[in-house]
Amino acid sequence: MIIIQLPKLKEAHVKSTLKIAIVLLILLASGLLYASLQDSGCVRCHTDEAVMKRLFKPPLSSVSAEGEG
Amino acid sequence: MYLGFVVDKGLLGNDPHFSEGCSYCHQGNDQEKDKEKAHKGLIKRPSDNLALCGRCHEGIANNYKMALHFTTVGQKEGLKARLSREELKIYDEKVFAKSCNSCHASCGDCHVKSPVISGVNLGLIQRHKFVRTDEGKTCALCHGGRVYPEFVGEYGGNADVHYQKGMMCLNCHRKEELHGDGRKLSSRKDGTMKPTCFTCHNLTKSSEKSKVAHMKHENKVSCHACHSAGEYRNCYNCHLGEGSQAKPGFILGRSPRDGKLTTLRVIPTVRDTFKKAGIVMENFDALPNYWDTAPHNIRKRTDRTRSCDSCHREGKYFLKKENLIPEGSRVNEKLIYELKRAVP
Repeated sequence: MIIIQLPKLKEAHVKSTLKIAIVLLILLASGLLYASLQDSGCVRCHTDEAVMKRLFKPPLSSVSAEGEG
Repeated sequence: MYLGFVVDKGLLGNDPHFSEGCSYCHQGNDQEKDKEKAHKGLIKRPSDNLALCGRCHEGIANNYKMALHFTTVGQKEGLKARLSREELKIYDEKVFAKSCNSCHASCGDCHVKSPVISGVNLGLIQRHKFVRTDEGKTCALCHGGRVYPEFVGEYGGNADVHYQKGMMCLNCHRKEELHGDGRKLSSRKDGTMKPTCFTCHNLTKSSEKSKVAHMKHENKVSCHACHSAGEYRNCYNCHLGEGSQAKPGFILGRSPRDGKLTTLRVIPTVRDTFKKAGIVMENFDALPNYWDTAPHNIRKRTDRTRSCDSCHREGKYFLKKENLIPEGSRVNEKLIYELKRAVP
């Protein structure tokens, strides 16, 4: 009995290990991506209100002040 | 206003739109710390390239290529008949490409960032969240001259009853109408998905008086002619580079499209509108200066629904020969509606 079932157990074990590995890889990749986004210069400034307030240049006023439609 | 450029950090890990990083859409250099260097090559409006959004939203992007909000050809088609062949060429090069078409809406103008109007930039709608709708920050900006202020009651008078009941633009103008169906349209009136009152309203619960009134005017009078609450904005005297002057008014006359009695709006095109571009509009008189309009200030009860006398005895608001705009198109007279007067 044991000799016959062993390969089946092994196969199931490999499958579940693979699944876990894939999930871990996805988590790792999205974590890395999130980390890389956090590191980007764009995110650093554009998520910081104080920095944006300092860098923002108000537009020059224009003649017309309304939409047309 | 700087808040319009602040991105919600919480969105970055959760929304798949951000999965490829900022520079995937905006280019620039996301490794740079200096603002000028980081913004070198920056694309402010990535969705002007519809193919970018089309990588995931292929069907919508393909349809939208032909949608009037993107092509803005309605502005050209509405004028074309006034121009000679030579003038149309000049118009295409000097006016349409540089002026009319510059204010088209691409995906981002409705789903990410408020459109910039006259230099006023509200920025990101909800801190770069990709929203389905937020009419007050999108439609309201481009349509802030006439339709939106009428709808919310900022143009005097009462707000549209639909607005008061909590409805907004997309409750009547469905997304299919705005995205288009891939067919090339020359006017919004050509669209098959435009809203109609009958989608929601029927007369089953109406009073006998109301049923009779609707039956008598059916196919002769538009819904707006009776249910538009009052004055709406009319624009006069537009000149290239200078704009036009607006004033309130309420005009009833014959629709140039189907001949029904309806609300008419003065359009600002005058004989010398494009003089600066060398266009005199050789066929100016081919089109009128008044077009049928759907003022967005609807009410159930107006002075026209309360009493037949308003139209049939007093003839209030009707376009008359003596109040046609001066120097207007010769075909304007055709829009004067000869009303059946009540016998005194």
